[in-house]
Amino acid sequence: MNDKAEILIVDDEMGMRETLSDILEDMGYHAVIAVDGHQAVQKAKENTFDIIFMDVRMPGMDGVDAFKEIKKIHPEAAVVLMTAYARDDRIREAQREGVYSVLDKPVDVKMMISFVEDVKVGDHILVVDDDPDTHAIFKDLLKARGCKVSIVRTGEEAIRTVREHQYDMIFIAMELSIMDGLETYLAIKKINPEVVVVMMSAHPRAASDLVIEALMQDAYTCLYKPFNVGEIIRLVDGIRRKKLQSSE
Amino acid sequence: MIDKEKTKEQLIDELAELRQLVAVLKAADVERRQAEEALREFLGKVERAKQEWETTADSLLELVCLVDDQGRIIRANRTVETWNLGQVKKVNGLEFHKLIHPDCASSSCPLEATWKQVWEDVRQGQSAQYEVYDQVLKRHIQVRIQPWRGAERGMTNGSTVVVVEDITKRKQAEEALREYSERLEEMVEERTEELREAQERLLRAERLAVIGQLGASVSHELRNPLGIIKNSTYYLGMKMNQTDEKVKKHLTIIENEIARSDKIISDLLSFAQDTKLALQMSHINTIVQDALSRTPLPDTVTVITKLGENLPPLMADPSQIEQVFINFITNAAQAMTSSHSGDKRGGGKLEISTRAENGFIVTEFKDNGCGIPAENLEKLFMPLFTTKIKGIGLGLVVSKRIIEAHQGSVAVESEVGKGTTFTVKLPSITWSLLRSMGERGEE
Repeated sequence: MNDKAEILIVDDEMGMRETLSDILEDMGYHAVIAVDGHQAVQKAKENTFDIIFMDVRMPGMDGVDAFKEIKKIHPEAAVVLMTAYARDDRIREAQREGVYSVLDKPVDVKMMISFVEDVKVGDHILVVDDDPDTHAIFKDLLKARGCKVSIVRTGEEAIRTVREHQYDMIFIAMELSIMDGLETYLAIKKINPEVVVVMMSAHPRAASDLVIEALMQDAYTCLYKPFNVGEIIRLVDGIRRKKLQSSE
Repeated sequence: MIDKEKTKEQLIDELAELRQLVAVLKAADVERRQAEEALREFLGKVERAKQEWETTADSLLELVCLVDDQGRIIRANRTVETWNLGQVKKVNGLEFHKLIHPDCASSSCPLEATWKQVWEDVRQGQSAQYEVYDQVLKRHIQVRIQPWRGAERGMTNGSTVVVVEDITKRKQAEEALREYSERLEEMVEERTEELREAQERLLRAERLAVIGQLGASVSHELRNPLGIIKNSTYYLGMKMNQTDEKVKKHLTIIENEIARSDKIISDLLSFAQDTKLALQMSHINTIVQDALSRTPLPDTVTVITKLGENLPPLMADPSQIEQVFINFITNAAQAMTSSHSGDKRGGGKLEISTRAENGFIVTEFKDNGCGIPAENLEKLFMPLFTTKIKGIGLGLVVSKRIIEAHQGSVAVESEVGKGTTFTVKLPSITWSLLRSMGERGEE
């Protein structure tokens, strides 16, 4: 850590604020605390934070409203909601409006730290697709989360770039010109057997044999277009959670 | 000459008289004929009236007899013949008992005895009525005896009208009704029992709903303090990394206990809430391996995996199915290390296998633990049923619910002392599923 990550912790419970900020401070980050939504918005006006961990249920302004206010000030802010309650409509609304992630309490501290690291460093994601809609979605979604997104349009380009760079996740469309998604996947797998690969398809029926083949060859899963924003976040978080667990 | 020879006038007069006489006689003859005609007509009417009345009597389904003051039959209707008791014309003079029982000589015959009992009253002009089952007719009959009103009209040869009605059908209906009413009591008892059971079920469901709600709100509230304890422990773990083994041990104990509390809370919440799935294409073998790697098992338990190759993928919420599998693995481990299976010196053996079968992916968890008694087997998936000393009995309920939310099923087979097998079936990917995936919009 050459420059300390700036973290804002928002929770109405003193114990939660203190424990989280002590952990993060001890790990070398700089943690600021706020006791409710209003104070969080105030602090966000005064400082720029790399990541904000925000409780949802708080007296006065709740976490979802505070998140929306902060988004107005810093559209790029990464806000992680923390909740002890069910994922209700308020939280789904926040997810649609670009909340970074939602963590259930008791929070997984390792997951928190991985978020902090990612905001600073970011996963490196490769998207292989010639569909401009896909490009737009991934750029918006993942750049806001601090990931680095590289986009290529053909399988051949993908194979070239995989030889030269290390990626954390690769999304490959089934429908590619010249070399199809499955061929591309199998070639990439030979170069880097460890990388997590998610297949994408706009034609579940036409591509089903290829998709099943890819899954049998250990592709992580297959996403169907049109994409669901929440689905991609969940997927990326799920992959991260698994990596954390397997590294324990 | 004058005496013998009548005058012309005299003769004319006599002739006139004769003519008058002839006219009178002619008139008398007409009158007589008219009278005869009237009589014939009258007799015809009488005959007709008699026939009408006889036909009326013959049309009755009842046996109708006119009986004299000695109890002998004077007249009977055609029913005598339909009941095969003889010919209408030949029954005159028979006693009623003899009519019905031609071959019965016994004076203690119930029919005869009853007749005699009522006869004196009948003689006094009273009516009588009785019902018997008649062995000869093989019918239930009702005998009604009414005084005959002939005396009022100056007729004395008859004294009594006897009407015998076949009441077999009515008796049968009554019998059926009686049986039914007895059965009805039983039915009412049965229904009452069912109702009581239904009420108990309802009460149980209500109680569960209350427990669920209460459990959910308590669980949510507990998540904050539990989270804080977890954070504090994490912090202490960071700071005391280099200190002695005992401190580390205690920190691990706290962490494990927090994880256990969290599991209880999660089970309660899953139980109280509807199961929501985040489906994605998954591999069963990956889920099994993830579940195994996340379940701490005692050294005495050996796990053997027989994972099928080239299994089709499935649409599943991998984290929830993983929880279900962790639950089965943990239960199996407990069954194999509990005191009931203490004689297994070699320790427990858990075999986990996966295979494809008719559009389903089958995962089996087969242990050689203490087994489950038959009486507990059916209660296994009931909320709050548990044989463990620890635990609130929601794990299997929640597991079943998650599997069923995946359109899958779970079955259990067990033998006490030999072991238990849980079999989970989850649908594998199909065309329609793939198509619906493509058609589905934003959640």
